[in-house]
Amino acid sequence: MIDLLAAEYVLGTLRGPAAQRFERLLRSDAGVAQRVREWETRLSGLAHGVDPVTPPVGLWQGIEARLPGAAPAATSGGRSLFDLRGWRRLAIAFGLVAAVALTGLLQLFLAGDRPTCYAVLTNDRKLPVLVVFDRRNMQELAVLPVGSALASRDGAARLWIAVGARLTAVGTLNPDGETTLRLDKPMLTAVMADGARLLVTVEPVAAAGAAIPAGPTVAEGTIALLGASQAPARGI
Amino acid sequence: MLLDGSERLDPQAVTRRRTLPGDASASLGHLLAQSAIGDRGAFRALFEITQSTVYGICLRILRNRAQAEEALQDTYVRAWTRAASYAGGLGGHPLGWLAAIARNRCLEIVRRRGLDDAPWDPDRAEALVDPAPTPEQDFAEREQARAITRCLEALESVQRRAIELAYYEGLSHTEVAARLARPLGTVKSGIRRGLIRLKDCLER
Repeated sequence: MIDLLAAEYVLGTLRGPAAQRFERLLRSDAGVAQRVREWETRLSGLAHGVDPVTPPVGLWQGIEARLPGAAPAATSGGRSLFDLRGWRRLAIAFGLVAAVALTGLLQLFLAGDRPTCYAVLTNDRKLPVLVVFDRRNMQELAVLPVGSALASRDGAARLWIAVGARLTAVGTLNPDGETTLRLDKPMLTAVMADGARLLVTVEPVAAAGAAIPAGPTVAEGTIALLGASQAPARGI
Repeated sequence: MLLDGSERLDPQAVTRRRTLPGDASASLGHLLAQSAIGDRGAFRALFEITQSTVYGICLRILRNRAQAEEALQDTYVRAWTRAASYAGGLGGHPLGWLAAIARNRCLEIVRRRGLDDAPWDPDRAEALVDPAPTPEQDFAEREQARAITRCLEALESVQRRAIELAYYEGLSHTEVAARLARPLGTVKSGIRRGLIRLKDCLER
């Protein structure tokens, strides 16, 4: 019962050789890793039952000294430049989940058109199904699938942006999810705002093109800025 | 609170502080996403906001200030390295994600200690507590905490107590059995059944 082993591993009651065996399994099997993440999420609510305690001052210095990688060049406000290393890390994290997404991300990067914002859209089980990036200089929105989550659906997947209580359609996604949407400037600005909410619904064929969603929401997420809040200067 | 002790405030950090009460989890998520691409200022902000929760977790499991401080530092170093995988959306809530890393680290230390040779002393445990304010949580995070509390309370007493001792104090099956004065077999099956019932309850 892998699920129960994962549960006891997260809880902490898996010990000794059994724990070591499980850790080897965890490192090699993505399905097992997923179970562990699910149990961590399940039990994470218990963390709020712990009384916070003020630690001694000065622990940060010890942490900072151990953070791998050189400190990024300072910019105004002490925020880092959008850098290749960080981008690769993010791309690789997504890439571990879906080779298609990784290809798309690398292509975006190699095209020299670094995104300024992204959103990870998750399904009702909080698993990522789509990644959305801006290609601001091209006035495009790139949507990349994570795995084949959207593959088998009856109807058209449509992307919406929530502005207050109103939903506005952004565009229709290709059946496998991988889509480039060409947007006019106002829509691109609205979509790529920090904190903007995006939704994907599956619309019955008859309702395609309607102004409000008729079908169920299958994924949603929030836009977050990448790196500096202004679009980064082009070129390395 | 100033981030680096100087008089000049980082305006981004101040803005973030002001938005926390309404949208805490999303802000922590943003700070994590920033950290994932190397923004040490964002990571420092994340640390300042969450360190007392992490320290509370470590203290309760390790019951030793020096070890808890080391475990706390180890936790954040790991969190920095793994921030990119959180940004992939798999980590639940940021605070819960950090708590899982912290617990994991503390349990590694406990497992390496071997048999627990520090008997549980309720008076000593109380003396370690130096209450700090809890970071603001958003609605979804509070709901998650409420759901698991409700589901825990629905368990039989032995199951609930055993799971709590394992989670909060990092006790092994054997230690839980000793603390509850119950047979080891009862504790093992109680924990397993309790976990299964928790999962069912949370999925409802």
